[in-house]
Amino acid sequence: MKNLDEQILGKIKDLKPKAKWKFLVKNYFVWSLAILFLIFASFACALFLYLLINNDWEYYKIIAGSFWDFWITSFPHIWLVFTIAFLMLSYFNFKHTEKGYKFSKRHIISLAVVIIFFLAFVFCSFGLGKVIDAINLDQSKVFNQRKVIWLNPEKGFLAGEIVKEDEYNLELIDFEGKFWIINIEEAHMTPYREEGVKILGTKIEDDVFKAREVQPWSRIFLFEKDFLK
Amino acid sequence: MIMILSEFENKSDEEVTKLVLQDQKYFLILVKRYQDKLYRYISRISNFNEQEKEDILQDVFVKVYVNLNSFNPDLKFSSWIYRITRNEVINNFRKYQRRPQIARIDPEDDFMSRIRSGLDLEKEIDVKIDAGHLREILGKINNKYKEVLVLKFLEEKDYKEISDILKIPMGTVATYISRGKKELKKKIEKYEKFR
Repeated sequence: MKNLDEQILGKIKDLKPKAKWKFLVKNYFVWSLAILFLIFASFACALFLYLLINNDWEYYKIIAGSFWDFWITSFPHIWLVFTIAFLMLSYFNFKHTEKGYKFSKRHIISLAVVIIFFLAFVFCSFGLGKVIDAINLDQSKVFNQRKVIWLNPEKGFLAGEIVKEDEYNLELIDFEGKFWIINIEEAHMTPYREEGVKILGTKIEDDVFKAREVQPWSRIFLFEKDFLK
Repeated sequence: MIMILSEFENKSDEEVTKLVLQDQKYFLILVKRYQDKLYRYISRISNFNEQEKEDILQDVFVKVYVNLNSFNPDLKFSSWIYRITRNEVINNFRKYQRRPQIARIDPEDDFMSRIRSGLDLEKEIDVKIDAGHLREILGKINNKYKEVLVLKFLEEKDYKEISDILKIPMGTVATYISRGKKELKKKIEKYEKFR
């Protein structure tokens, strides 16, 4: 190692240490990504929980014939996949923060899962889950199978928002925007809220549907009622 | 400007890094303190030739200087510089498309006596393995265990330092050391049997 020190000093002669702010910016950037992906994971988890909690397990026989077919058709797989994907991205970024390596994978993932569920719970309580019902039918095929199932009047499933009601009929705009008259003379009615109803029954005419059962579109999520007051 | 290195003997690495940020000439102190240690470390974890090792070492010191502001004083400076060295060696493995291996164990390394107490081998087998055979045995051990064994028994780093150098949790360091020792013990016993 002849004159190695001289060679090194020669090499750095015209160099300068990189500014400290550059390293800080990089570290904050990685932290920001970790937090951002954690929030995305929580959003995805909120939608997953909303769809899971509101899934129509009690109608599985009518909807799909068998429990397994119903599970395959209606389980919100895509949101579970998004939740896990964002969780992994958040983990990957956290591991690349300055001190991320000090923590084991098990500890980081466990803590992240707790945070994701907590935030998902808060988001659901603020009604975030409902945004998934606002997407159009084409996208619903991927993101909200439940909506697709309940927009099938030929098979006896209908869902939408009530615009007017009296003793015998409801006027309903379904989630695709189509107007319907719903006959409720022989229907079993469960108290519902503003955001919509799901109806089991029979299509009588092009825009007339005879209801057998009318139920709220979604269940109240834990403290949601208090938050929405 | 002539600098008398002995004047800075009492200064810690961390204090010297602060001086380097004020004046480049103080970098010589760090070079003098670490060039031999790092050269030995590179030799222990790679099989590069002399010239390649010197090139790697030069690149390590250039990187240390350029990235000096990223040094976090929560960390030991030696851990930080070893980490940079290891990364540079790995980069060069990729560059030269070589596989990591134990290339050098000097008789004066006293590796065996250190690891023998760690493995509790004294009572079980009379280990008289020369450096060449030990190198061969170590070469057969899983690389991740080998890395921690080198840092623990050759570089004499503690768990915290190994964790900071390899950027793995301390629990993982403990696991790797334990598994590495078991694997090494098994290989040594096998060697004894067929000797």
